[in-house]
Amino acid sequence: MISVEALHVTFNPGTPIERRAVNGIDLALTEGEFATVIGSNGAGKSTLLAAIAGDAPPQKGTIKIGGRDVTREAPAKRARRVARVFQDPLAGSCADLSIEENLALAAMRGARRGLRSALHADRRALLRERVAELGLDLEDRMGDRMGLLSGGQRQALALVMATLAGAEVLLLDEHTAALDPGMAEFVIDLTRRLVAAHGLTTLMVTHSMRQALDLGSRTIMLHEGRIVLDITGDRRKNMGVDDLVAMFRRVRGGEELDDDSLRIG
Amino acid sequence: MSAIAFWGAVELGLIYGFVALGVYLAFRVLDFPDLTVDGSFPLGAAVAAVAITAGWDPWLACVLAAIGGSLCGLVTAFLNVRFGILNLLASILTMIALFSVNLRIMGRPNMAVLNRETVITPFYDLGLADHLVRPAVLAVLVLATVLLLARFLGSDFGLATRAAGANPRMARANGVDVGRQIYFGMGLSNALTGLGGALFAQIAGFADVTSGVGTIVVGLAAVIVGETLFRSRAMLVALLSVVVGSVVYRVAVQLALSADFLFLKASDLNLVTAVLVTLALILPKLRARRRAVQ
Repeated sequence: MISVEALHVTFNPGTPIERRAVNGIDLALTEGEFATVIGSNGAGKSTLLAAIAGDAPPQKGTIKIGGRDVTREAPAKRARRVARVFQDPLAGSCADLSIEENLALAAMRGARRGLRSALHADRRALLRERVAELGLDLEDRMGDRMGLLSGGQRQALALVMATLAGAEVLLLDEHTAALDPGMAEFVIDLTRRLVAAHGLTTLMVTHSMRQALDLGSRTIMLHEGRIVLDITGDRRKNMGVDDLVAMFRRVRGGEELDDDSLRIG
Repeated sequence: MSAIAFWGAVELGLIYGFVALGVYLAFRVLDFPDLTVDGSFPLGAAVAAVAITAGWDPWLACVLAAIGGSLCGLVTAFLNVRFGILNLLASILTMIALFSVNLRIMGRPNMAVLNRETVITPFYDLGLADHLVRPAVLAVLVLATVLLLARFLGSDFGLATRAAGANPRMARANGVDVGRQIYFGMGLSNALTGLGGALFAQIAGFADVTSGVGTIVVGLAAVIVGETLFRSRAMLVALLSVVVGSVVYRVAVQLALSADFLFLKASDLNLVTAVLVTLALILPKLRARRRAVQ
């Protein structure tokens, strides 16, 4: 479903602040595959996701989604098949629009937007139903501004928004990193449910080793813009958080784990 | 203040209601600080004056003025979207260029539109006093515009316009072509301003290339006054409040100018405007600071 070949993304090429964020990545995900991505800060995780979504244009390499070459396609055009949830809960929705307006906007992702009322009765009923399924008691607050909600509520709604318009690919960029532990657990659980229900091909960046092994069926570790570990099946099943951390250390050349943002739990 | 002066202020407020709606669309909905209106307002006036003087139908003149205005907005959007010129600067470039364009359109700095058939003239026969007919007709026109705009901004396309302004990254992630929305929004915003200019020329009886100076400040004043009076974020209420803000602002200025104890003259209008807008901008901040202290 996603196929990335010999991908290179360099920021500020040819300048003193040149940075090779992605440095030759080959990656193929089959339809419905759910892979987690780990790596230290600057390893190229977010850039890989941004390149697939179209936000970070690659210097070299190709990106295919569903067999179609989208390397040069604008992000808005790619959005028909690619849904995203960002790390910052404020980034994935419009604070000044109401809950149902945000959802209505996402419901038309990739479709031709006309002059039909965005909140016609059928759609409102559908949106209300989808929000009620969350069990967060938000279905009676559909007219409230998105900005009034907590980060966790917004991330939960962002996940619903991602699955409203029949996307094929879901890109999650540390979407629970800014949440308190309870809400993070809720959102992770919701992620698991929605990905399974919609059969989405998913790439999830995370800083949590536990999440990296618990979710999905494949774990990928990036270091300096390359894939240094790619495990599935029994090898992954037999791997504990300690093993992963050890592997992480080895990759970084015996450096101590001084990276604050890396959590083992 | 006499009744005639009062209704005159209301009338002017309603004309600038179109400008205020345009400014609201650019500044608030699209988050695009746009000074093009200082050029598209006199452009609308110039186009209408020339068309009406040439014997064209006044309604057609209004349509032409709106189209002309939208072209101005498209130029600014083009400079910004296509070449990445900072939005404010792009609009200043268009505004400056329009001064020359407007001189070309009229062939001279100002032009009278007196004793001509305008959009208002047929309504003088209805039996209302003249100084009431104008505000009445304008009120109907501006209300119809508000209803259409509210309906548009509540549609799938309009929602995309709002998202493009509020959170472009999120809009793109949801398949919205942000550049296209800026083109469309800027075109619509300046079409409204051009229409305002066309009505101004017909009612004031002249078009003048300098009549655009400060249009943006007046439009912003209306938006800010409206937002201060009504706090609702519902689209229809927000749009209505902008028009009400425009009228309230004009009446307030008229009051200030006619209050003898203030020693103000008509020529102090721009100073009064600047002071009022500054106050409206500062007050919410002071209020917020006081809340933060408590």
